[in-house]
Amino acid sequence: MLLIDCPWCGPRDDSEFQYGGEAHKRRPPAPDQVSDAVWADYLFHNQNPKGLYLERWRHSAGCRRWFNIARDTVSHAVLEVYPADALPSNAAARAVYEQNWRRENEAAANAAAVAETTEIGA
Amino acid sequence: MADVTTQAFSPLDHLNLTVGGPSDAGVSLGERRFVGKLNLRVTPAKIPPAINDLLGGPLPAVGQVTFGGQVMTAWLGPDEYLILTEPGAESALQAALLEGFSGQHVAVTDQTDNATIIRLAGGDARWVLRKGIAIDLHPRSFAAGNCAQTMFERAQITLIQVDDAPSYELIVRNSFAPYLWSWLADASQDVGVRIVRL
Repeated sequence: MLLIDCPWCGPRDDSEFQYGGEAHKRRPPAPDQVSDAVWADYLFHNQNPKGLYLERWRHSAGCRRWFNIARDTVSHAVLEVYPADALPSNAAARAVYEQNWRRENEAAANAAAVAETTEIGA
Repeated sequence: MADVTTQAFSPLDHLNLTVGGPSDAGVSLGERRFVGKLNLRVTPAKIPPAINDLLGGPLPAVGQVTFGGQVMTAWLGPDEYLILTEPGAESALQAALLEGFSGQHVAVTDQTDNATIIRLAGGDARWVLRKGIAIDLHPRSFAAGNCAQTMFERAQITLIQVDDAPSYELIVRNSFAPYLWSWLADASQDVGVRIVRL
């Protein structure tokens, strides 16, 4: 049994919560214009680490609000509970966010976009 | 032509409950029938004074209930509240609230027929309630004026502690009400239970 500290209701049993998968996934703004690979990355590909993981949870039997937690999938220790629209403040959790392959891809895409813009400009 | 009449009935009517029980019972169990229930969605920072007048005070803080004369307001979420009124008074209050918010982006939804209220009171009420609920009911963490939404065994409830008797009100969906009532009546056998009409 996992004890989850809901940001609004306080500590409750995990049976009151609904799991929402990996946190900080960004939905492609125009799904009909992205490639199947990008759409599959969004829908099906998750980090699934052995260790610290940033997850979305919803207190479905309580205040019905979404929030994020940083949880260790080995020890089940909850390092941090933080709002759905924020980044973790815990250093280890922040590192997990920054080292996620998704952010690498985004960084690569941004760099490519910048290079392209520069090329057009030149 | 058939004589068609409409009659309100509660989800517990078919249990054919008999009022009464031992005078030294540890708990009393009763149903508050047809209490008006309004769900209010609003940004708490933007409450016109007219609304506070209607609710008999400011909106409750996190996990709190406010008692304002004829209405009781419970905190459900950071922008969600449940307002309980006298039976039949919900429509008038709904209209008055909408007028009081005058065009502001809010939702006031009548949920009267969605749920009923079971009241468990008496010296052993906390002991009985503890059998089916996981949250800490000790007075230092849950006292009169507190509310919580949680699971009572398999039923989702909104729990309100009304006074220090202690008296608890369990707001439960109609379809779960007979289950919850039977569960509480059975769990109360150890301390004795008196069925009351409220």
